[in-house]
Amino acid sequence: MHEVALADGGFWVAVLQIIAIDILLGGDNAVVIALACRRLPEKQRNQGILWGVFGAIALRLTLIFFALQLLTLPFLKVAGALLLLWIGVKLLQPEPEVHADAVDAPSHLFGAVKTIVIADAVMSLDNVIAVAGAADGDILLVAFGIMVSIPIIVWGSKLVLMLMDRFPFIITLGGGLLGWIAGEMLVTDAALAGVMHHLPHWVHYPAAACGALFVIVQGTRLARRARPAPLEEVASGRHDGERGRHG
Amino acid sequence: MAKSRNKADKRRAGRMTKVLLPVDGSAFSDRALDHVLAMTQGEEPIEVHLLSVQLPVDSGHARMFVSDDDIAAYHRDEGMAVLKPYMARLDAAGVAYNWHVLVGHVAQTIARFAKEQKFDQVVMGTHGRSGVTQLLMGSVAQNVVRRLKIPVALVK
Repeated sequence: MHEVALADGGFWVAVLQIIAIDILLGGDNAVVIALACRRLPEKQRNQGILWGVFGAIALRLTLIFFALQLLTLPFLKVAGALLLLWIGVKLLQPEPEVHADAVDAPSHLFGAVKTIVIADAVMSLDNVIAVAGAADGDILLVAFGIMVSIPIIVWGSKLVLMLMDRFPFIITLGGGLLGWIAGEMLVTDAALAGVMHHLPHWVHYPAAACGALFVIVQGTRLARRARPAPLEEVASGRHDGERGRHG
Repeated sequence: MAKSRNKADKRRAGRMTKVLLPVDGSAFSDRALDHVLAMTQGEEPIEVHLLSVQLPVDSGHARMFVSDDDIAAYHRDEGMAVLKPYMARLDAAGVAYNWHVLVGHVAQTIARFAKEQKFDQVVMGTHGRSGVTQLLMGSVAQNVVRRLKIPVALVK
């Protein structure tokens, strides 16, 4: 099966899609990792990061494995596709104002690892659905995609954040990609197999394009409506120089 | 003070010229500071504001797991680390200054801060950090210039 997939290039397209999703939707996981390990003593910090990332990958693979099984059931791909459209639109919105009563950064190794793994599991549900959609049932693809993207997320997150800051259209493209996958997912649902059978094979392209268009149009429209938040100043101060004292 | 008298000069009569100096730890920022230090030697008194902009933790999810205080402390630490060498140089030169760490998208935040705080001038490096990053990124400075009407001095 993989030989065929490899030959027609579909494998690599899917891998690229998975990497793009992981980077776009996973960029801030790295920040959580850094934050969770902030209060650890210097020596334990790297250990915390290592085990946290390890646990997060293991849990992520498990979640996606189950998601792939679930998506073969009728109507679940439809549900997944709708959810993915929403995630795509949400990706295009400016920073959300969520302030939960989060606990302070843990000061021991186990606590830090626990925070990373739990945070990753909750934060990557969107990721799981998107990747499962792109992978189209192939867990090998998923594993490969994750292996490639994890180092980028962990060590390149600052660069990724900077790129997204400088080139906002990357995020728009990302939202479009999610919409594209949603459209493909929708028409491959098991419940629609009977109908789709009568339609030509290329139908999933217009479906995917519609998904992408929907996310980009709706996402930009909503984002425009959002009012800019006040500037966030986290620190400031004044130093008087010699001349300052005179004046 | 006698040379050029336009509207802007009259408007800000009675207060010092407010100069914003956004820095990012690059050699270009060092030279932007050189320029500002030279300005402090001039006859017109200026008020120097040092600024570091930190990229936000964008996801609401992240905020569910880490308290706002911790996130703010994280940005503060990162920002202060950037500002430290510049503060040291200003201190050594005996220049009075204000310093700020803001969180947000870089160019947008610099421009908004400059507008909201009614700055008269921005001085910044033409380029950010060096090498491949710079090649990929294009210039924050260009973006700031585009967003502002006040003079922006770009230092090479």
